Amino acid sequence: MANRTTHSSSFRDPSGYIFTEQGAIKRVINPIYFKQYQALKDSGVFNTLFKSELLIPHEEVSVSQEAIIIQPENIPFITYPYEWSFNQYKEAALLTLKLQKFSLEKGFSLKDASAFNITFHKGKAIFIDTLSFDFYEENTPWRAYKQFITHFFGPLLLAHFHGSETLKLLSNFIDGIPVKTVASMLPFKTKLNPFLYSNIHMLAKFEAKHNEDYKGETKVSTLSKKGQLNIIEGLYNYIKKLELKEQSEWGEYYNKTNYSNQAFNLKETLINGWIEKLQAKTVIDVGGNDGTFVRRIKTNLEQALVCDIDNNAVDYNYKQIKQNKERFITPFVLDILNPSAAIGFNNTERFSFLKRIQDFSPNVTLALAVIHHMSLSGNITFNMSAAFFASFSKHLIIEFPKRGDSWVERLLNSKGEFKDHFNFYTLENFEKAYLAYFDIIEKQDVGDSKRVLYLLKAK
Amino acid sequence: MMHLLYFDPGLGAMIIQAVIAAVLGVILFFKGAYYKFKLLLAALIGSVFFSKKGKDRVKSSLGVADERGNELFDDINVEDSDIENKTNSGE
Repeated sequence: MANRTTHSSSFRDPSGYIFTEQGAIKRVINPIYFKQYQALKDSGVFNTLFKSELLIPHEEVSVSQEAIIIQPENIPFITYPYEWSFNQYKEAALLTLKLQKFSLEKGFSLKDASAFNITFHKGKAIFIDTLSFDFYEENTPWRAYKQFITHFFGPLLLAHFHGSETLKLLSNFIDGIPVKTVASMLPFKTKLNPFLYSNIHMLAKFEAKHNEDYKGETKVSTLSKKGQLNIIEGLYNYIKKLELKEQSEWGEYYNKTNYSNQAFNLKETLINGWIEKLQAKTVIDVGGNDGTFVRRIKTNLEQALVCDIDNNAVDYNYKQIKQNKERFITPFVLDILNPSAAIGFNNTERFSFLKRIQDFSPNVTLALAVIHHMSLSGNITFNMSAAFFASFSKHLIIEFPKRGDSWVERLLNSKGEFKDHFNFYTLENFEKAYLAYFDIIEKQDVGDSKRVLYLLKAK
Repeated sequence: MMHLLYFDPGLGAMIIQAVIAAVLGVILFFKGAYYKFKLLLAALIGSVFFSKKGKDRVKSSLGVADERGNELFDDINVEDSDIENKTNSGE
């Protein structure tokens, strides 16, 4: 019981709560949930879902009359819904529906359908809220239906019609985007689609009509299991076919860079040599596009985080992970100039990116061709970016494109008459600022390019 | 039965599901009927072609080809083959 800290997001569900003990995440199950837990265990539901890698596996640590304690498998880095690409979001939505259908077949039902019940682990979406399963009561509607619409279906529809940026809305709507908001943002033609009309527009009207029933006099109608399965399967089939209207150009990304083959290969050789020398097992590639460089690392990595601001790049990376069945890469969408903040009650329900990456503490951070975007597009000073990188990783491999590099010139020219403000952008100033936080272990020109690669160690 | 519900499921959402299920029932019925019609049509036209390739081409053009294996996401069903191993839930 010593050094037990209750997780700050785990206070809503009376079935139990999460705590950390000596760095390990554990879950207390309260007596109120004993029957459900035992039934899920005895029926083989847990076992099947563990083997299918749909639910995070756990071990039973202790059993008493007051509490059952389980320890779920450790997930090195948790990503949140507002950090997922469109297809990642789709997979999370489909997983929830898949689990609900399976649960119904086994006499259970998901009592909630929060997008925060899911994260990405070993290359796929996985359900992490073990206590979300309750007994199914015959002829009752799905109690988590509205939550599914506000957490999954609504955001996906908004992304379909308005672009992937709308997926970030969940960082403001931690309890899901209200149905009336979703309905108001959808084009008129969606009212002509019976599926969308009934699941969004009519739902919004019903919710508005009944939300003033303070006395609880309105009778909830019954719904057969077959009827509920129709809804679940209908949503599954619709979401599965949902696509973004944005064009993806990231498959061609590395053909558009200003590298010669010789410089690109040298960069790869240098990075591989340094990663091997450091015997790195965990990395984060900041601005890692579609994960191309992480895949070129020859050392066996246990976990590689690859983040990028562009949904299409992350989505392309995600599709490769699915197709190649890669288990060590976790892709996510992140604007390094505005990383995910801490949100929720007391700002502690969902952790900031900085807190999570500091806890993860990767052996190496890769920041390849990203400093010029931070400095010239984001006006981040070298001192600020150095402090940022030094805060979460012991080693930093950073690429500095010098003045004269075509990308740097393009960014500088876009500044117009304000261009002189960026005279600070020189190799000398970069080194001076970074040396306050790092020691230079190695420094190498990248072939015929106007770029310099550094291996730095935090002081 | 006591439900361990800790958020508002939405009264409107609880009522409307019966309506949605009915709407979906109608959609699924007509979709199923339309699919069967296309399948029948594919079989009839496909029989003109003697090769499997020809039949597949007809099926594909009518949207009834088997596209499993080419998709990013699998179907809704959970593989349940190990369900007999009931008593050991991974502990």
